[in-house]
Amino acid sequence: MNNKKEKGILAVFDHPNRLLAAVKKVRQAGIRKLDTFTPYAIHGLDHAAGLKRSWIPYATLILSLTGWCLGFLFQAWTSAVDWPLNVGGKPFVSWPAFIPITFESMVLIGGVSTVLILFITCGLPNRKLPALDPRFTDDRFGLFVDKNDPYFDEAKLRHLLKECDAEEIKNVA
Amino acid sequence: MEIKGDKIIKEPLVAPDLVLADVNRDVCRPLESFPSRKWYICLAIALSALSVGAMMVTGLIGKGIGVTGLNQPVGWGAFDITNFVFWIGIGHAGTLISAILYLFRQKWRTAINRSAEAMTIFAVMTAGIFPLLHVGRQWYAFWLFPYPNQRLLWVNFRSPLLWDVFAVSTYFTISLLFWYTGLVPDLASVRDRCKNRVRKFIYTVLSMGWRGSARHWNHYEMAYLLLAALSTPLVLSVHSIVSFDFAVSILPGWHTTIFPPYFVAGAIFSGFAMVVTLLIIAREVFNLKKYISLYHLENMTKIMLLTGMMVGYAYLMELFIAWYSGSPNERFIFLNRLSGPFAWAYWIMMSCNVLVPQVFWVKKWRRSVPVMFVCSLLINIGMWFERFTIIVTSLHRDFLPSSWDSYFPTRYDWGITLGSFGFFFTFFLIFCRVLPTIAMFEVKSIMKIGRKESGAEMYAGVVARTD
Amino acid sequence: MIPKPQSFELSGKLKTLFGAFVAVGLITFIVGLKTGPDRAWSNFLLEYFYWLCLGLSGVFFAALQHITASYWSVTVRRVGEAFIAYLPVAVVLFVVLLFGLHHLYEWTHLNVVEHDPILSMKKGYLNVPFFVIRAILLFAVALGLGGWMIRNSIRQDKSGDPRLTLLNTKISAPFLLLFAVTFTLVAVDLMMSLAPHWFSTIFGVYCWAGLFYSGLAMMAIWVIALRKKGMLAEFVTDDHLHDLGKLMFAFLVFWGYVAFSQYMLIWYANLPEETPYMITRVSGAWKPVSTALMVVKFVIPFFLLVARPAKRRDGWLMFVAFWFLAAQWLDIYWMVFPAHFDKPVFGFMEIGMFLGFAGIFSLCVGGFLKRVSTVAVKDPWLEQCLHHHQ
Repeated sequence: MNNKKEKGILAVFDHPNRLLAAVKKVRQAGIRKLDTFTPYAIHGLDHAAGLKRSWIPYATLILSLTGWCLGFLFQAWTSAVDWPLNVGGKPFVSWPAFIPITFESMVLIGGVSTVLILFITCGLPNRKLPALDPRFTDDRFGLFVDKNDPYFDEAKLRHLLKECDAEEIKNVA
Repeated sequence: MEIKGDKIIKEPLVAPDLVLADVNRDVCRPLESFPSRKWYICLAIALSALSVGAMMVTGLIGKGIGVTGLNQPVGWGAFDITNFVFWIGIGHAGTLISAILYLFRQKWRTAINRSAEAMTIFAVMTAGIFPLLHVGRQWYAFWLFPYPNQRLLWVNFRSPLLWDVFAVSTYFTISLLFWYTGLVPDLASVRDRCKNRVRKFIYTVLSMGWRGSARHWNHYEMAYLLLAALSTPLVLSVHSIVSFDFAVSILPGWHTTIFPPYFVAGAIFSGFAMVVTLLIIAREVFNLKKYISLYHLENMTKIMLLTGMMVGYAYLMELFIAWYSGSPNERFIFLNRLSGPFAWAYWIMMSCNVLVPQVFWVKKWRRSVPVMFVCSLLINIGMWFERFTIIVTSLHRDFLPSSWDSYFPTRYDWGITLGSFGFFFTFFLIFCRVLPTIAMFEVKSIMKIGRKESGAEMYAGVVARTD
Repeated sequence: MIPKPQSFELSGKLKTLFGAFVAVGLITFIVGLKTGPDRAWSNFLLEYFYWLCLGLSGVFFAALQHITASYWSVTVRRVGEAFIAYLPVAVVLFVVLLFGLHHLYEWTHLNVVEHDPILSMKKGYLNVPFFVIRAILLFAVALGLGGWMIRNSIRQDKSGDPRLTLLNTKISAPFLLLFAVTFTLVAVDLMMSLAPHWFSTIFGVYCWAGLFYSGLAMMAIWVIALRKKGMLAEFVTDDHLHDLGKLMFAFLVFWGYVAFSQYMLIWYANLPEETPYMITRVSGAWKPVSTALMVVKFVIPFFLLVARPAKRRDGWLMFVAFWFLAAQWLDIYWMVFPAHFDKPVFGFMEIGMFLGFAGIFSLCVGGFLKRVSTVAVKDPWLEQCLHHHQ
């Protein structure tokens, strides 16, 4: 594998609970530069790996509200400022008639930006980092410890991971 | 649910003998083998229907929409607008399953959400054809969008038809993104199984290099939840806005305040009927009975029963208020529905939408595949006639008896309707061949891994927090 | 391991307080009947419908949980079930309401109906005997089927028989169906027929949205109050509150959706049969009330409740729940008062009558919770519920 960025140890587990126990132990050993690879999201793993709650909701809320305002203002501007046109005797700024599109623009801007933010924060599309093992999208669970971590000690780690019932331990270089 | 001792046991969501590795293998099998004869036969039928439709559409664009059964006063014809509302409605079940059931933590959705969402997208695409044809000069359809132009005019934001443009295009965009976001981890699974280099390249691009890192899952789950939270009001808004097309008018039978929730319930009702129809076939053809079990189908019949009742409530409320209003026009239009020249359509609607789902009170019939299949087809017919009834009966006899007329569809109407089914099924059949029809990663997260440790059964997805 | 719930009793102070509320309500009502009977009866109707909805909301909540076989709600369900204790009182108060029909409903004035062609067409529906029959039907459904469901739930506290849960699941389906029909009819009777010429097909859904909006808030208040006293501490975690808060938020949005649909469609079509109802309310002296309704019932609580911590902090959630109850009061005020008054009235009368009904409701619910366990202790899904995480 031509992995330029990641160097360290990779342990493969056959059960999420084993992975979880291993993550906790490795973190107890002081190691912070670690990552896990799992075929599906495992509840409690983010917590154990020291990850905070995602901040995306705040961005979504702000962008959705922006979408709401922009949608409304655009309709009001075209209907009442740029070319006021009397339609069916309704007021130029007919707010009840503007709500549907206002709502749609909120959802559109909120939803599209949520997806974009997700991809950007996750570094997707990702061309640099290959999958470390094809089984991690199938039925195996991986724990990767970076060599650059100040507490990285290969022998100790290998021992520790073995104790956690790792199915396989290999070097990534 | 059954009773064991003092506990109630819920049915397992996937067959208990499956292990994690089975999921990828079983779900990806149709992608990795040559299609069966059955699939080719289905595709041939769908493509024939599509080509009939394409011929009719060509004729219609060449000659103008007068070739259909449209007339004065039935200017919204049965077929273009009926089909538009029908297909948009079909799409709603997919969003309900993917978003609303997700928010309500209905875990059984995992087996069916992928195909239902695909159905949503294809149904919205199909629906979009009809208003585009209906505008008459189809090559000016882009005038529907507000853009700075030489005429210095803006679109009319006070028109519900314009709200539709925004609602449908937003719905399509968000559904597509939601679907794609949900596909990314599964596309990575497919990628990692690929042997062929071309296939590998395609799925690598599509999966965008997903590798299942904990940090990614953390954001991913949150974004998925947010999309679900945005899609839930979106799905309500879309069919509500479709209903506004009718309900903001002053026509009796169209203008009634219950239309928005009633249309949403009807949309979900017909959408679930379509999901049931498709899944009964798909689980058979692709051998997915271990994932899409009778339990899933039973739950869907329950939702059909519920939404069928909601629709029934709306029918009764309309009748009651038409009488209660004391308005002669309101009273007449409903009398005309019940006993006028299109009464047959009304009674098809009533019996298919209100009576047929009543069979689902009986547990035996909720779990009988033939009963469900027949009922789901009948419900789809009933829901098509619901829109037909609403549109035609209100238009053909309005306030002035001198302008009353009838409505006769032509071969163009029939041909384009047939073509729309061909269009939809072609896409669906191709989808079944190239993308995983079941959300593999979600199914894995609800599986019992089947090993007992320290007395407690371990679930794949749920690991209790210890702090 | 399932902890044992503590028994509940309203403290002496609270009992006195609620008793005093009832007395205040009674006095204001009697004084009101002497000084301005129209206003007194309008208030009576407002409070009657408001608290009737709350009484029904608990039964509805329980049925909803049974039919969906939910486990997250097991620990809060009993509090909702306790609201049924108010319904027998509501039956008695309905008899009182009958004495005020002539003040409230134009259609009871037979001489007016004779000369009004539209009202005389509605005579087959809008007449006192049928009005009473429809109310009896609602009470029969709520107390009969709903009461049966709740009795099963309480019986299970002793026997722990899981078949009772399955039985309740079976009862809940016909209950919900009949409830939808009968509640719609009663909402049409009590609220819509105040303006007898007006009609709106979504009205039943509108009232039901308000019912669940306020019902969830009332449940949240009782649950949090009990939890703060330490009575539900082992049972109701922040995760349960979070779910309750999410449901409140969902129904807040749902109410906004239904209210907007009703208003926008009537505004847009602008038909002479329908629009007067809205014109009365959105113009002139009532305009501020309509604006306030939109802001108070939807906009402000939306932002109060949208964030995750807002649904998990009990003090804040309780505050928002009280806000919901106030907003629901404003909604029913908005439906009832413009029918009889040219401009908004608010004073001791409105406050006193509200307190009176609040006292009765609280004493009923408190008394019920004293007699039964505050948690469905032997529910087959309790254990799962206790391990519920977001």
